[in-house]
Formats: sequence, C-alpha cells, structure tokens
Amino acid sequence: MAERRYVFKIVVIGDGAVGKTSLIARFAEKTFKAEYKPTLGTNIIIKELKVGSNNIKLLLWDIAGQSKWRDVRHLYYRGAQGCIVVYDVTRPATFDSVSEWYKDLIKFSGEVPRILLANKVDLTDIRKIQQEDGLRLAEEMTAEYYETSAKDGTQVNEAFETISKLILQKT
Amino acid sequence: MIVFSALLTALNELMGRDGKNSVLRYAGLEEYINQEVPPSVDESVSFDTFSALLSSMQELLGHGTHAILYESGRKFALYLTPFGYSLTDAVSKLANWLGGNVIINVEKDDDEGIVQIKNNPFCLIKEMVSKSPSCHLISGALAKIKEESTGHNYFVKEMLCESKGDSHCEFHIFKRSEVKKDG
Repeated sequence: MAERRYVFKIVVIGDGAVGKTSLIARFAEKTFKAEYKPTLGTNIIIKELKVGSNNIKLLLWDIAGQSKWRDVRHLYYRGAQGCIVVYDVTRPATFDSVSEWYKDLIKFSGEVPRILLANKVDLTDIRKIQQEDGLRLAEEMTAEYYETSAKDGTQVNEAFETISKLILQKT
Repeated sequence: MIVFSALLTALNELMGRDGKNSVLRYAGLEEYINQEVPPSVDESVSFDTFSALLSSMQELLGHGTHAILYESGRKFALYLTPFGYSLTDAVSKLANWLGGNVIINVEKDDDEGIVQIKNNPFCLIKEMVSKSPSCHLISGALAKIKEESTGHNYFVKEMLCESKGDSHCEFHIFKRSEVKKDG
C-alpha cells in the first residue's frame, strides 16, 4: 500500500494546571517538568508519527486554560480535526468544567473526534475523581477515555495515537 | 518599514507570547523568541526572514481555517497604519513598505471597493500554489484599514489570487452593516 501523508490539527483543552502542556511534552519530547508555567495564548507543538502506512504530522495546539484568554480562544478551535479534553483527578473543579470546554468545542470545532483524559493518576493518595465518574462523562461526550500520568508516562502515547487513528478513520 | 515588527506584535496579541514563539520557532527564527522587536529592527530584516515568518504563519495558523490569518491581518493593519488613512493612501504605503515590483491598484474606494495587487509579495514569498485564494492576511488588513478610515464594518473576500494562477490578486470589499463603530 502506498504511503500517504496527513496533517492533523488537534486542540488540547481543559482548565489551567491540569497538565495539558506536560502531556504534550511527554508525548512529543519524552520529558516531564514538575514546575508549572502557565501557557500564554496557545503553544503549538509538532509531532510526526506513523500509523500503519500513513505518515501523520500532528499540530498539537496546547490552549491556555486561564480565563483571560477566553475572548480569543474561539479562534484557536477553528479548523481542529480532533480534540483532547483534560482534567486533573485530584481537583474536582477541573472535572466539573469539562462540560463547558466540551460545549465550546462543539460550538467552534463541530463534532470532531475527541478523547477525555483523566490526568495525574499517579497521585493515588489524593485522587478525588474516580474512574467510573470519568467513564460516565466520556460516554456523555461520545469520547474515548484514558487515565494518564504525564509524570510517569502512563497511557500518554496510547491516548495521542488513539486520537490520531480516530481522525484518520474520519478522513 | 515596520512590517516585520507589526506582524509580530499582531501575533503576540492574538496568539499570546507562546503562540508567537511557536510561529517563530517553526520559522527557524529563534533569535526573536521572547524578544521585544522594535520597528527599527525591520531595517535589518532580510527578505528570507520575512518569507520564513509568513510561511510559518501560513502552515501553522492557516491549517483548516482562514480565521486566524484574517484576524492577524486585521491586527497587523492596526499596528501598520495610523488612524484616518484612506484606503488609497494606506495601500500605497503598503506597496512602499513591501517594496519590489508590487503594483497596487485601488479600482474603487467606496462602500464596495476593489483592490488589485500584482506581483503580490505575500504570494511570491510563500511560493504557494493553491486551489483557492490564500491571502487571508491581506484580506484582514484591508478590512481593518477600510474600517479605520470610515468607522464602518467591512469584510473582504479575495476573488483572484496569483497563488492559484491568476494574473493578479483581487480583493473585493463589502460593507457589513450601517452600525457606527465605537472607535
């Protein structure tokens, strides 16, 4: 089968400090930094991967979670072909706001493939949101669900590969 | 010459510091990352540098959407042109800034204006071959210039584009509404 090349834009959204930047860094650069530096606007990271005989260039849009970017954020969603929504299992407020992020996604990007990530699952002692809650929310969003840790790499590659495959299936 | 710094300022406002840096990084222009870029820097900016910035913007920000490039163009115009310039004055200044062999013709300068650009450096720089008009940055800039000169809302649609083999780029300006802008 002939090789084909694709470029996919994926937006990564969720409240501030849930680990969006760290998840992308883990996937794209195999690194993790514990210090928190809020994203200003949007950070665009490029990662190439191969799925079957397809060469895929991912444009990963790490979108600032802070409310000060709300006015321009709608522009960042435009043209996205897939989405990763992230919450932090130790902070229930970040789980509660997933539905707001989801609404924005549908409004500005439409019904694109999406996955829900329950991040920071390595922090088992202080975990507040359990797997069944995450699975229920993912079902409501018609999204795949992964439990991830940017710190130790749990399920991170799988999550990014899955969203790439979902987009590919729709292409 | 403030084209380069105006573009970076527009990017910074629209995409934030990290967004601007992403575009610069992809363009291979690391020396401008996290730097304030004063207008005077343009004197030392080469054609290749400007070209790299535009190509990077097109590839990163133009994927699947025109909206960000169009909005970047609006911001770009805001930093590029003083308030109150007529469309004719502003585009002739734009021609001077861009340099080269560019020929700009403002065919009409009323509510339904038409601007033609031949040897459009934004097309030459990108060396683009496109199936549809691709100068969204210029479209946004023209809309903003027109708005600032009249106080009304406009949108601009590019009908012909050198990148798709037309003899020139042609932008049609439409008045959006009669509502006066706040300023």
